[in-house]
Amino acid sequence: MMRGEEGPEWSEYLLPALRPTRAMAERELGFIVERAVANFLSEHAPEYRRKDITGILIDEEPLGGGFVNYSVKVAYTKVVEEQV
Amino acid sequence: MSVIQDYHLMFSDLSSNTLEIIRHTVTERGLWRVSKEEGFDLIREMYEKISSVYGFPTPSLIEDSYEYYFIPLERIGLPKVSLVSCLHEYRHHMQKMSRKRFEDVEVDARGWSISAFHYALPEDFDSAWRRGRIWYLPPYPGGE
Repeated sequence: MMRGEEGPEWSEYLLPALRPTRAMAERELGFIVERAVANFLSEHAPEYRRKDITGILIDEEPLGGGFVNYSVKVAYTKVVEEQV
Repeated sequence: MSVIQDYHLMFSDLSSNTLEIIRHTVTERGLWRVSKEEGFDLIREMYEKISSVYGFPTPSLIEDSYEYYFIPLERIGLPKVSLVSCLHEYRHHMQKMSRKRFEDVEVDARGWSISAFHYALPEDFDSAWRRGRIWYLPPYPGGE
């Protein structure tokens, strides 16, 4: 797991992947999100669970050789009630 | 890690047009009263109007399992209708357009979205805070 930065109730993960075409990027989004969630849970469970993930911010940075690095910030807090 | 608590006071100078669009979406269009499908359509309309205030392209919105903003495609995902959540993700879109006040993008988005709710709909904000329905705020002062 490649770790990025850390902030108040958010953790960043760096996920290398093959550079997608625009159409592929739409399909790949779901995989990227699930990989980030899995990384988050491997670090933060059992204190935080899937339901405590409040938001995910995904960016991509082109790498050489047909690869990209997705940087994914996973925000979390103890969710008791749904947000209005 | 220090805890930031005053998210609702961070953007006291928020655009009055934006606040009016939020008020209109909630009180006159009934964001919290309509069906989920209608609620998503109202959020799309609200995004369009707020984007025209700032001169930004409008992000797309889809229903998905998690709340997110995918920067390259300017796409927002939401699992349910939530005013604060949809504003939070919209702020990430604004950050892409170089609108950012706080270095930490999550702090910036929490501050903008919670402040927008606070200043647009102060009574609803107070009630939601009291019921613990705004993430990242501390317990309501003085308890329930």
